[in-house]
Amino acid sequence: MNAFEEVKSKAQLKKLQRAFAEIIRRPLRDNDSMIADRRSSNIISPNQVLSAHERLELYARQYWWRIKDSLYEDFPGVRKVLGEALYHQVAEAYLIARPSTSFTLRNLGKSFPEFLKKSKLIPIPVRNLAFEVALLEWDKIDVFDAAQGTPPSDSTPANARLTLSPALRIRALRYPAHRIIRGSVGESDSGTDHEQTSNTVSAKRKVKPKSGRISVKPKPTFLATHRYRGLIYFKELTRNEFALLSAIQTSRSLTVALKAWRPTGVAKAQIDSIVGDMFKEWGALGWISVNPGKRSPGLT
Amino acid sequence: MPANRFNGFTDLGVGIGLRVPHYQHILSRKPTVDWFEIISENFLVDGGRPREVLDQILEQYKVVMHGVSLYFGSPEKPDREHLKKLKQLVRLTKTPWLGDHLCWGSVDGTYTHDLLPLPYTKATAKVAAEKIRFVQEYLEIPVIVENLSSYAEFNASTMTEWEFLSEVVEAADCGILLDVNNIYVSSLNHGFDPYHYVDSVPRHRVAQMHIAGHSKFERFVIDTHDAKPIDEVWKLYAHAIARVGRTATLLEWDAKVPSFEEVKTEAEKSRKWLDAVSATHTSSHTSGDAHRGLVGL
Repeated sequence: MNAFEEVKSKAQLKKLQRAFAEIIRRPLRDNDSMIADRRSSNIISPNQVLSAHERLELYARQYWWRIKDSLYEDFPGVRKVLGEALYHQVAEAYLIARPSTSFTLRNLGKSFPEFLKKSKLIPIPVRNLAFEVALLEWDKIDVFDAAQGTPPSDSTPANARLTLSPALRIRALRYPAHRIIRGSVGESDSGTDHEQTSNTVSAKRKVKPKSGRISVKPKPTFLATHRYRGLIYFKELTRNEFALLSAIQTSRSLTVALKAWRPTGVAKAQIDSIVGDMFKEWGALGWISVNPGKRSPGLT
Repeated sequence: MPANRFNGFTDLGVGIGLRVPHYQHILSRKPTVDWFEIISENFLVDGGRPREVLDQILEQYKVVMHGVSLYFGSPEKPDREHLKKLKQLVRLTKTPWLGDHLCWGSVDGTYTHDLLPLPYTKATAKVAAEKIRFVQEYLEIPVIVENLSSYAEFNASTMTEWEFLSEVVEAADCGILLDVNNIYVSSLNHGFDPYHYVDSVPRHRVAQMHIAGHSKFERFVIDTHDAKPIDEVWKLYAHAIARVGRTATLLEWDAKVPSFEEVKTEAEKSRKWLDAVSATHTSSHTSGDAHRGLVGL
């Protein structure tokens, strides 16, 4: 009797599932065939037309096509920076190193930016740009279905703590990485919706012909990724805007944030008026939110 | 069973899967639909367009939740965060029941995002039943389990799929989401009689049915949900309805999704069997065998 012929306990079930998962998670060969594993015929019985290996291969293909497809859709900008061939190599390495630990496919690419930052498969000059593009693409996913937050109103308590809306991310970047991400303004339904379905099979994505890499020159960039009326936008920020938004995000009160803020190129007399203009615009965009349950020592 | 404790004593009729390509049509035209089935995982988010769409749908329609990642056959406990979000969604949608699959998909904290088949043994049934009970108690609504389409069978199996399904639902005291297309697909892949399967499940536990299209290849059949159900699947559905009684039915169409009207027209085909059986089923249960071939396609 082999180790998988009997499932009479939870431990045996888990052992069998672990082996099944190991077999189907090995990367497919170039022709989409599964690497042979002697455990296959111990686990699975053949039928009249398919061997145990072939039956498991259906699941292996499905596994790889589904997760590769999901990542592919989420990071179009990274594909442009790396080129299709290198992208596929790196994506597969990522999916092997960081198998999904979330119940939802939406989170599959959460660690992709950090993985790219350290990946030795990517030449160093390209790596930093790929990392920043991936960061922004993950921000888009995160912002797309984040809560909007509660905007301050006349009824907001005076000591309420203000913070940034969950539907806003701010970044200080080395590259204007957002310019790589085409279609970033005015995403359609299909651009960011992560729709899972209950069928067990998806078709293999057709490989696009080799395409050249796209790059941009380094340039310090301050960027907001935000949702406005259901659509995702990038908005370039000034250094002063970024600094004040960062201070609001990290400070325990608006008073503290304003004290910590060190604007450059602004005369002291102009500060109140500049801050007023900023808040007017940010309020209209829904960027400022009341942190529920938090009270600050002094709201001014 | 038109209405039973496994479907919250409802009689919903014909449902359609809520899918992104149809959002605009549904929200602007507000078509007549008995109910929508949502994939729970697509709405376990804090805000944004998915929730805005759902809020608008809920103003107008009944919604039933259908999940793809509870993995009742994985021995690990369900993810806390997942359950918490599910419960919030249950409260928001007021779904009368929650369906998910009798399968596994995660091991050692990692997820395959696939609906993988189980070895049909008493021990596996016990694992699945305990998990279903746990989820059912936590969510405080009926949980129903769906049979899979599968492409592989385990050497370790000691019973048939329908025996396993019956064992699980009896032990968990839960309902069944009978996917007729999945039975048909698996019957071709594994060489069993799909009618015998339908006749063997405890009919008083069937709370909902699924129908769908599939793809036939030279040596196997795959569940693709990318086309209309074929006549053989409709025949099997007619047989199942005749045996079980009027049951909430949903057409799944997830790939190569056509216009909303086309999906609706196809889904509505099930109504004639629902209506026919509701007229006769109240007086006595008719043998399912007598209804084989009772299809006027």
